[in-house]
Amino acid sequence: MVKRERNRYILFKVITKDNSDLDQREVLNAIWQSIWKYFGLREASKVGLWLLDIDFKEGFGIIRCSHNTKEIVISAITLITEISDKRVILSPIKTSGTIRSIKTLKKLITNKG
Amino acid sequence: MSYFESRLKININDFAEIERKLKFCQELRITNLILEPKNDTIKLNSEFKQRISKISTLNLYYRINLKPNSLNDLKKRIQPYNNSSDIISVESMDKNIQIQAAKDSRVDILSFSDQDVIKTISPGIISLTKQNNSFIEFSLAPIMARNQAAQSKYLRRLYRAVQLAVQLKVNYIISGNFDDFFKLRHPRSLISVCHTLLGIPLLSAKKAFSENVLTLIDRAQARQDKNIIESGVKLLNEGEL
Repeated sequence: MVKRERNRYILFKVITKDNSDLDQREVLNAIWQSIWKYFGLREASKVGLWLLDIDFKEGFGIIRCSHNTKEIVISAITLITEISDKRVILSPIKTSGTIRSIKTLKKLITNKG
Repeated sequence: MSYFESRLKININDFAEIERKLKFCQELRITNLILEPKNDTIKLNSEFKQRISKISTLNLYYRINLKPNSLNDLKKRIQPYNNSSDIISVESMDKNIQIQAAKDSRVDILSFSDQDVIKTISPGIISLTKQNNSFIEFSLAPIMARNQAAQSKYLRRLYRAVQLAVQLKVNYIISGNFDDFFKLRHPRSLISVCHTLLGIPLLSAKKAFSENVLTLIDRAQARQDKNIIESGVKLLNEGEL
């Protein structure tokens, strides 16, 4: 029987200079560009990237990727310094195998302030 | 496991900037930090350290980075830190200074952070560092360069140096060493970068950001303990075990 591919959910913090506005599509494009730039087509084809949630007000986002490429996605996110000429930090906070635990953690962090 | 950002430069005359930097680190969820004054000739006093620890909940440690011009300059500059509990690092392109620093037991780190200094790393220096149980340091700051040619050039140099260190099994640490606020990253993210771009095994990369840094801090603090004769040998008081 073929084994189903496992996913990883990555919660990351979005920090922008002067709280400048960003677009969801811009963020996703930036992540893809970074994956392409540093790891190329070979790795990009394995990533299975999906932006599940992004909240610019709270400054958090959740992406999904395949579990084999977790480190690649974290590296790509880390190496992003600008999105549409705006200085930005996408800082991974936590990785999990289930969306539920990531959402719980996000709630915990946002409630704590 | 908690990871360390092993090098954050601070201007000790600008306390507001230090406060902003520490707050930013807290926002990035960095928990352990090693601070380095930009001016290497200044010895940090305990009053200053207490003042900093009051404004932050982070675990803070301190290091001094010496950039000597000659062998005599190294000897002169290192003298005030004979019994210092701060970590002492030496950064130089000069082979003779590197050799002397690697032999000197007061030097904890031989830093290869700069783009030009990293070219000068050699198996001989690594071997001397290993004999002295000190550490080699690499920095990731230049890989955030905007210029892609400079970025890839540095990545190549870093890759070669790191692979040499891994092969020769020397103790090494990796620091961010970012000057700009918006280039600062959490050490866990940097571990991923080291693993994916520099080919360091994940466990080894984690060690370079946590265990090795803890050993380094212990080494620096042990200098003040007069009962420690050399690494692994300590005089015990009566009844103490």
